[in-house]
Amino acid sequence: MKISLKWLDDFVKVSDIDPKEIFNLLTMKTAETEGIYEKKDYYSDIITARILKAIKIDNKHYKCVVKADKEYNVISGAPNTKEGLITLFVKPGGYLNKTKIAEKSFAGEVSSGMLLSGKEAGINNDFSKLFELTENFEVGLDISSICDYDDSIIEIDNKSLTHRPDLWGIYGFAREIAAIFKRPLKNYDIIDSSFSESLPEFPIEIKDSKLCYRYIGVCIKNVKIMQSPLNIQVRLFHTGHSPKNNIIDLTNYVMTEIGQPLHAFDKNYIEKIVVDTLKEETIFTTLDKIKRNLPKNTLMIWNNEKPIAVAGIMGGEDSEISDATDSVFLESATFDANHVRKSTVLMGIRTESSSRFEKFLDPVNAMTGALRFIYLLKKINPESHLTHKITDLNFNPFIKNVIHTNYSFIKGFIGENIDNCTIKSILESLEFEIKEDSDNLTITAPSFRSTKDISIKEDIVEEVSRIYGFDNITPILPFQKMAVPLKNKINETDNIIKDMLTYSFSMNETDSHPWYDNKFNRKILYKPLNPVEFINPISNDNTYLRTSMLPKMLQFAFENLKIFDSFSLYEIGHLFSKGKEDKVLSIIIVDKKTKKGDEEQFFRMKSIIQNLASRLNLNEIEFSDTLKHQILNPSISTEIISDKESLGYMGALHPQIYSQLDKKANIFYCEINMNLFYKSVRNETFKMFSIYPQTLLDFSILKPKEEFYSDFYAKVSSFNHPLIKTIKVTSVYEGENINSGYQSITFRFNVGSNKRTLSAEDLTDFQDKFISHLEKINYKLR
Amino acid sequence: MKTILQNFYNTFLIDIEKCSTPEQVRDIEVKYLGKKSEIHSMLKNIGSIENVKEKKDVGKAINSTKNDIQRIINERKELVERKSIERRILENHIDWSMPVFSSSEGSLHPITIVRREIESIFTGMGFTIVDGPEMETEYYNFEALNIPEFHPARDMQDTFHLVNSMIMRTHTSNCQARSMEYMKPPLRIISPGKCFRYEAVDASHETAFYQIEGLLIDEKITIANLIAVMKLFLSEIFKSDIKVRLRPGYFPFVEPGFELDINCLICGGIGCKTCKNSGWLELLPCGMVHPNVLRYGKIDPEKYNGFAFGLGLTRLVMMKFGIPDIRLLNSGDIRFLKQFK
Repeated sequence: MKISLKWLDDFVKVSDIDPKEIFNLLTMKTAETEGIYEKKDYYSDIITARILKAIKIDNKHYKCVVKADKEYNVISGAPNTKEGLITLFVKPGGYLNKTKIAEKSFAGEVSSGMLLSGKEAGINNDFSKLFELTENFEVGLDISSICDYDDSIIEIDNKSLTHRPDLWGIYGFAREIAAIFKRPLKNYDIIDSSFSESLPEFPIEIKDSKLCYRYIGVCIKNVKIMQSPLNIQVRLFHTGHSPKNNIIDLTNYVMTEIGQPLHAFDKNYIEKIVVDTLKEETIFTTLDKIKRNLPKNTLMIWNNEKPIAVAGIMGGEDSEISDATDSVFLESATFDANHVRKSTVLMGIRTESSSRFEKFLDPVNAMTGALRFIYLLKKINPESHLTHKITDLNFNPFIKNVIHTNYSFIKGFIGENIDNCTIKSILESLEFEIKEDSDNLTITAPSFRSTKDISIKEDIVEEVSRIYGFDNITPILPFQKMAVPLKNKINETDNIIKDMLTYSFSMNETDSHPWYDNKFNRKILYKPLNPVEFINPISNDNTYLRTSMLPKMLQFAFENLKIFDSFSLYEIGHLFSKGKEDKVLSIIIVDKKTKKGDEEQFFRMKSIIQNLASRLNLNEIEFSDTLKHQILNPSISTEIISDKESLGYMGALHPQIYSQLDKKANIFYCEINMNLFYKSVRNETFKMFSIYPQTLLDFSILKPKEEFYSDFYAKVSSFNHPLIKTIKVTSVYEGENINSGYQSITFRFNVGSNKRTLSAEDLTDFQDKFISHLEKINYKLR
Repeated sequence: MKTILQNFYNTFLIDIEKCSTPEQVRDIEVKYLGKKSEIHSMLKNIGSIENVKEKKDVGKAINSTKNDIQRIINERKELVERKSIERRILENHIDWSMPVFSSSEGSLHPITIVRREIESIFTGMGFTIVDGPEMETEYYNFEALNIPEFHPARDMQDTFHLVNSMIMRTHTSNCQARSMEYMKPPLRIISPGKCFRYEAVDASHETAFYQIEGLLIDEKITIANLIAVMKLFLSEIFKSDIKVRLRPGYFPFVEPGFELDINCLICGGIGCKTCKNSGWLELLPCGMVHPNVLRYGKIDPEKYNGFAFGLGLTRLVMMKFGIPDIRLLNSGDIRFLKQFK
């Protein structure tokens, strides 16, 4: 929304206030302002001028003598260059859109200054010809003395107006400014409609009054299509419109001024207006000449049985105003906001009109809009007149909202002792009606705030506090009952894991988007299993939510490998499936390629996981045969098991993927469901240690290589003896002095008693018993 | 005898002077005081002196010489040992300027670092940290926050829709209704997490970013309370009193709603590119919880009210560390990541 301060000044005096102050106070009290555009910073030295002489010098250009403040010799290339034309002229040294206009030579002729098209002068978008001044202005006048040219435009962020239908017109802002600066608000002129009462009604039918709350039709004859007066064009252009002709310009003018969208049809095409939805999908050409496929149930304006406009969004091509139009049918209506919004979403277009209707416009304003239009048209086309009564079908469902509250609530809610009369005068300046009964208040909201915006007492608090000024409220910390916040174990556990991986294992934490990159997945031959698909993906390469973090981490690894040789990355992120969201820990380690690198990484990762488990006091984590994961090497992989459930996996990258890399590297990946870690319980009891000396006894046992270690370990450690404190495996050895086909595994028993120092006999007894255990299970000492 | 003793003593003095190591001193000690030493045999031979006085004198002289020698040896021993330690220290002088070779260091993501800082400020004020899902139902993301279907506010937060009729949460406010369902007032929560908006990516906009939602509900909470808590939090996080301003902001789940801006930290408020020349940075949308939101959370709005805020964590991280491009945060680039310990 662009606010012209000159236009605003029609309704509330602002000419004596610095535009910057208005800009700041609107931001602080009403809506977010985005910038100020000062016309004079871009344009200067534009004056009215008459062409005294125009001599053709080639097939396009004229050498002209121009009378402005004095006479100038100017070259013009415009087709409408002719003697006697009154137009606009920029003096040499003047500025057009920040560009300085210097004296220029053209085909051997000097051109001082320049004759201007509407676009060059910053008045409209027409650059096909010289701007023609039709209103008998004197020659040699500065443009800012004949219209609101030298204006300041404040741009408002439309998003901050979502809830304020009343602010979609300049008049709404005038009301705010009047309240903020405590200045009187002037009214705008409308036509007195009583004269039309005797005329016949125009046939209008609303089929669904839930979708069309009000429809006002006005038939106007003897209309002359022409260029709008200079000031209307200037104001419209400054507020973001492209002036076209008086009728279209006036619909835009009224919409910009009071927020009511209007639509003008060529009356010759209209016999009877029907407002009804489409019964089937229909192809319809809108006035922007685009054939649109309109869905069933779209609300349309019909001429008898022919749709002529998409209600509240855009008119049709056929009934458009043309230069030949001599009578106009003006529509000023209110449509259901949700329906208009839904239609714009389905059609994929938004217009100035639809963005207003979808904010819940006040149906009362529809009549004001029609009457304002007629008033303004009469001034431009005095011979125009109505052929029918202003026909009004009104099903306005809104009533002025009445809110019962009291001064104490308002002050209590704000937390500031504002006096009653300040509260009252703020509300009244915003056109609320107030009835007081000591502390109690009965507040009636104005109709233009009752459609959506104001309905509860908290809304009243907002009105009072914003105009009072949020900065005038003294901050006071709340008094609260002391309470210990609930512990968040998930958060704590995440932090422990992050700290360990970062500080103990030198890993870098990453953060990534939760969707796949299809292109990268194809590159690494990765096929996601049943991923959840986006209806509106951000791009064609990001159509699925991830079901694993492996591809993303691999992508990070590939990128970093261009710079680094070895590194480890981790991230705790979310994975998604149809009905479920899981949090996982994902780790990727990358090292320079070595022969046994994969294996080395496998055991490093295993050790990291065991470290995490031990830090979090988890029950023993187990490993099992891999369930085979995409793009991982099945021979160097394992499942990670906790309480008999597979909660993760880890493995070396599949050899086929390495061919994607320029650099030789070993890459190892691990992904664990965080639920595994959240099972942790803190050990909270102390067990007294033995105060008697303990003995370490090492036994190196020969294990056939092909035997699965965990089977072997289970058998050996099934040895039961009351003196065992702990069992640990300290080394695995194969090579010299060991028969090939065997490995030597060293078990270290920590042996001791809580009651006494062990004797030599105790130790011999222990050794004997262990050796006989080994014999029983068929193993030999090395 | 005396001359012999004197010569013995003199040669000792010459020998001991030559000693520079404890080993040499030990050899001298053995040579001059040991069982095979001259003085030892002199003492042995003392018995053969018949004259009692002479015997006594000689004995005295030998013992005195022996004691002298012992004393000098001890002194020498100490000196030599001290010298040898001093020498050892001097010889082993290290070049403290030599480089060290440390293994690579890990790093925490800057989001984690600032997030922890904020969590600790709020938990210190009695707030509980709660979690919520990233894939969310429209109910928790919109309906329960007073944003019905086709409400224009849904436009403000362009949403990622999924085929399973869920959405990616557009804000962490989904945790408001979720926590009201199981916690009763007075309640104080914050909920940090990732949110998603369907919008074009550039240096300062991302489709995924972090927010920290906050919610406080109790009896008789005021706008003045909201401003005070936000100011307290901001002065903690920026370690200084910073200037804030509150202006109207529209969010259907609060009434009234505010945008809280802070004085631009890049230019100090005079206006720069980052603050679009306004001198202010939009940091914290907030407001008084809308009574309908309380009703959705089964809390009586006549008895309780409160405030909510949504802190832009990603933006805060960029401001705190001076990160010029939001995309660096998701780049996985170690050159970026390793700077945050």
